[in-house]
Amino acid sequence: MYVYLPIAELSMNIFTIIGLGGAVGLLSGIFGVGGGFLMTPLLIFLGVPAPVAVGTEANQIVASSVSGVLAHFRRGNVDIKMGLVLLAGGLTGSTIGVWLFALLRQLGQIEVVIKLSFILFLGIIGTLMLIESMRAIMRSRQTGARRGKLHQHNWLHGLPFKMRFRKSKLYISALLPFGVGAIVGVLSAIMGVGGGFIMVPAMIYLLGMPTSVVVGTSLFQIIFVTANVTFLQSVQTQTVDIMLAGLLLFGAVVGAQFGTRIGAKLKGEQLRGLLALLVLGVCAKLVFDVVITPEDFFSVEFLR
Amino acid sequence: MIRILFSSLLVLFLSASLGHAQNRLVADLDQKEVQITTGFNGAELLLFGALDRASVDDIAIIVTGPSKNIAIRRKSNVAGIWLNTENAEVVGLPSFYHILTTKPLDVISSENTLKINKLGFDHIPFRLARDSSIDDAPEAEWKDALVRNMQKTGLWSNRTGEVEVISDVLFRADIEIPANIMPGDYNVRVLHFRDGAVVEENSSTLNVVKTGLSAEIYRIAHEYAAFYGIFAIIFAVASGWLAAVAFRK
Repeated sequence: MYVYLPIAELSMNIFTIIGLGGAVGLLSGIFGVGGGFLMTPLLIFLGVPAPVAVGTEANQIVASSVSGVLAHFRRGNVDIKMGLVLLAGGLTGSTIGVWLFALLRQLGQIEVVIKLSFILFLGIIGTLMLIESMRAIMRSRQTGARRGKLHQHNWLHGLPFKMRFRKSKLYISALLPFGVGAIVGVLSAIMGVGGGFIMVPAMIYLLGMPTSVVVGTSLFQIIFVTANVTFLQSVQTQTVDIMLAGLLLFGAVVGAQFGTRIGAKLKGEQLRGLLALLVLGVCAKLVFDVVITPEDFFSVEFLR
Repeated sequence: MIRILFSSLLVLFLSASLGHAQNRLVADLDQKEVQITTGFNGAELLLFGALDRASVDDIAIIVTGPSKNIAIRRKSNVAGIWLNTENAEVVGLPSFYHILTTKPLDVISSENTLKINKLGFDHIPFRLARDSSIDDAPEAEWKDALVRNMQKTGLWSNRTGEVEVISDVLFRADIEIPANIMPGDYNVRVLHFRDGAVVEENSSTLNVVKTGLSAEIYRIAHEYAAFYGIFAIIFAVASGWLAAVAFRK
């Protein structure tokens, strides 16, 4: 059964879309990740124009973050003050990002910029995850693992505009979370991701936040940043396909429920290793796309 | 079933009318409108017609779609990565251009006649916009690239031997409408060639319209972009919340 996607302007099998949503939802349920960083490249592989994949995915992430954050709110795992500072950065960054996106699209370079951004970040994250999970597997076979220092002081702590974040038990410069939010905001606009996979490590290692509040706080601000991206992309580039987003979401919601149940039963390290391999696989396919000599040096595109 | 009925009715009608007027070219489509609905995945139209000596003479069917500007981009390797480095904007190109013929175009008629009737990819006007930057490759290469890539999209095609002649007077052809077709007014021309010259011409209009939910979404997204954006957010927040509530243990 085919469905004509109004903004992507192509006809796609409805079960392919729901299945993709379900598969990515399953993975995000198992691993507790957002899934945008997998969904956007997979949509591109399926032939959805890269700008539409990005705009639509931002819209879908709004929904998945809302359903994710509710559970964290109930447990009190959201540092709202920290979230608001991150958000101020995120809104600034994502507004710049959408503007950059429109400019690159006009120049005909958006496709390759999206792919290169994914290659860079999937490559880094995939490699780090693989190393980390391999270490964890090794460590679990040894005994007596050591613990490192919890909190280190460096030049970042000398920055001005210090602010107290009670929930995170931190007294740091507001510029730090603002900067993290801004960078992730730009990426969110250009790559159509929530940015959790960059934000979470940055919050833990750069800001020194306790891990218990990291996920909830990042989800909290992702909602607003991706909502901002959804709105600005709708107005400036008309690349948000509500029908595609809805179908993906439907699959993802169901998939995530099964994923959470499976994830609870499986061993963490091996799973993370598998996810790392998957991320690297997607990365490799993208590298292949931009590096291999194209069949045809020319391409055509209708102008509005 | 409808198609068979339609065809047989047409045959009756045509054979009756042919008795009176010799050499008259009659042709029609089995539908005057293609609807891009939410479940649309391309369509196939039947063009049916008659003329005496159909088997001896030649027929060319040309379907053209609304005119658009098209960007052609050329990639080159920059530090190991293939980037779009050159651009050409061609103005006023048909967004759809299908030719179906009984024989190859160059057999049917002379270059000059084809040119006058704008028949064939070679005779589609290739006008570059001013800001095009085509330095490295000659214009002909860009034009070839355009024709090649448009054929790949299925929006342009040139198929020989696709006009089927039945019992000397009737002819039929299937016009493939791909799923990526653009809405607008399409022109369907049927040309009757005898000894390389156009003897008769029949022209009709085909409307391609977007209807249903997909059409509405597209319209709102483009005409009320801010409203669409806000709606998309509300829709996402509501479904995210619903999902969380529905699956709460």
